[in-house]
Amino acid sequence: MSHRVQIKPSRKPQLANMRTSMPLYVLIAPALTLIFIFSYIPMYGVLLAFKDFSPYVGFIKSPWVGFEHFEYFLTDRKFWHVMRNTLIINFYDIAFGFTAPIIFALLANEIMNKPFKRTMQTISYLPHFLSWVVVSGLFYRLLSPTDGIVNELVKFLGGESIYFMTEKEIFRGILVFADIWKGVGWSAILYFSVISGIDLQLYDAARIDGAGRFKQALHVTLPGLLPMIVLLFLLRLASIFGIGFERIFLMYNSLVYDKADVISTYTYRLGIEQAQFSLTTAIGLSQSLLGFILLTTSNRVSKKIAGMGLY
Amino acid sequence: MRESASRRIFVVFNYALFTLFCLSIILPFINVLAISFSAKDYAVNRVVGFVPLGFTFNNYIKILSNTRFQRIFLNTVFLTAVRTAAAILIALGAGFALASKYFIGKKVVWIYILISMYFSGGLIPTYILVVRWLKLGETWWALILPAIVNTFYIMVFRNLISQLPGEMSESAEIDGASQMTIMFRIILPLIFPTIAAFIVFSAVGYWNSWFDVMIYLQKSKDLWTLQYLLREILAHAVLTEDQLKEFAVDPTQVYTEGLKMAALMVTILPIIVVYPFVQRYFMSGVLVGAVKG
Repeated sequence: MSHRVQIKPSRKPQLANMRTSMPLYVLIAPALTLIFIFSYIPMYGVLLAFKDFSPYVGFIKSPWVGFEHFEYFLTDRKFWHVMRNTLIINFYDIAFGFTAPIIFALLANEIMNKPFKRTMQTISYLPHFLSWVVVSGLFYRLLSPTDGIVNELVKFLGGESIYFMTEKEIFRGILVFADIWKGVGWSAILYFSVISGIDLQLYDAARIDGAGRFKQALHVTLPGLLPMIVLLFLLRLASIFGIGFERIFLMYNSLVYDKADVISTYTYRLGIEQAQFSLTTAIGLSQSLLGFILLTTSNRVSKKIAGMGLY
Repeated sequence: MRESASRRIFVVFNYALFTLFCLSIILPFINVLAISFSAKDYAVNRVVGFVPLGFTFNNYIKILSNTRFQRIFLNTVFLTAVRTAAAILIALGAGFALASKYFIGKKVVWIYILISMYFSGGLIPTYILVVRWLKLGETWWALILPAIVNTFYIMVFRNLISQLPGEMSESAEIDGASQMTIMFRIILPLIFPTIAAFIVFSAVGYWNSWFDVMIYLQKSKDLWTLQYLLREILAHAVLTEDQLKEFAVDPTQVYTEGLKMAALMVTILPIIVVYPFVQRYFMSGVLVGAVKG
């Protein structure tokens, strides 16, 4: 009896709900449809990696080959070469590119002149909004050995003109530098926001204990930033087997392939230009699998050590 | 407060460092600007610094009067507008629906979206889907359809809308307003700063995109966007005969570097122009993502 009493009043709103909720399904339908087509169907498409796909035969009729493509690239010297480049450039990116915004934010925090700071920040965001096409164009122009202004400066200081973009030993440095130049100001925004949230009483306490600005930065600001640093570091670590395609693809050239060809550029040439669809899908699948394992592992490690994780 | 000597040295060093950093961003543009205004007779085989050699508008006139350049510029404006509008509306609709208490099956739908955020089929399966199955290659649909759902925006809109106090929507409901009215009249103004930031971010992103043009529109030059055209112009150390013919100029009369840099300046001009006006929305956009990442 009591059940029926409870059900009855809830029924009417339920019907009314259907009428109010219909527009909601209309609103969300485009997103769900497009996600199905352009996310879920390609996920099913990774089965390509286990087939010998030929566009003429089609996806369904192409024969299964198991792990043949995986075996192929894992024993391919070229693959290990680009893998090595990927890891090396990533290492530099983390050592310099990851730390740069932290140092940037800590130093900028010491700027007391407000208009200077505001202008500086405005300028520092700008390169983030330019495409890699433009940035690479700028770098080639400025670093030109014949009429670039950087080499003018080098010559003015008594040095020899250097063609930075084709110099094997320097090129990785240029890649890392370009990334920092483009993104440091923008990436520092997150750190700025964390700094502005640090309790001012902590600084007062440090001052009373006799800490100068430097000690305050070291013992108050930096520890305040630490959780954010750990978090971003974890995110960064998960992508260690991948490197942004655009930066490398637009900046490298045949003279520095040896040092700068990475997995993403290699699979692009193999997949799109040479139509090795199954092989490149196999590489891509392994790459994202590794990334996923890295993310979950480092998350667990961080939870244990730092007491916090991504999720 | 008295400052120590080492502190004073640091302060000077610090200001110098940031000044240098800002110069490293500004000076390249002045250099490029100077080259783009230089004339061939003066600039070839010489180094153009920060002042044009033999000031001329010729490079810009040649670029801007080229019909292909004009066409591709308009293509880019159109595609940027369409993709930005679609991306924001789709994310807004989905975020609003997911935040509504009337949405039945919220949890399932949310997991469906989350999965697509964490896993992807990768480049090649998507490419085959677009080109071979859907046959969208060499059309603008290949640039639009796969690129307009932004799950991050959906997540942010959903979180923002569900954090709003419910009283206003409820009183509007009592007055007989439909869900659509509530979304556009009540919710939208409240979260406008975030919407504005996302409009800026996606417009810049679409304006700057070129990879999809490279893989999907290789043959259809008339459908290209500005960034890809710029890449083609810049990628050739010397403009090819073909390109020179397109710019309808006598190869001996053209200052290729000037032409290239004029093309580069025209490409970034829209961004530089709107930059000061949209800057105030940056913060709200970045931080909203940081709060709930």
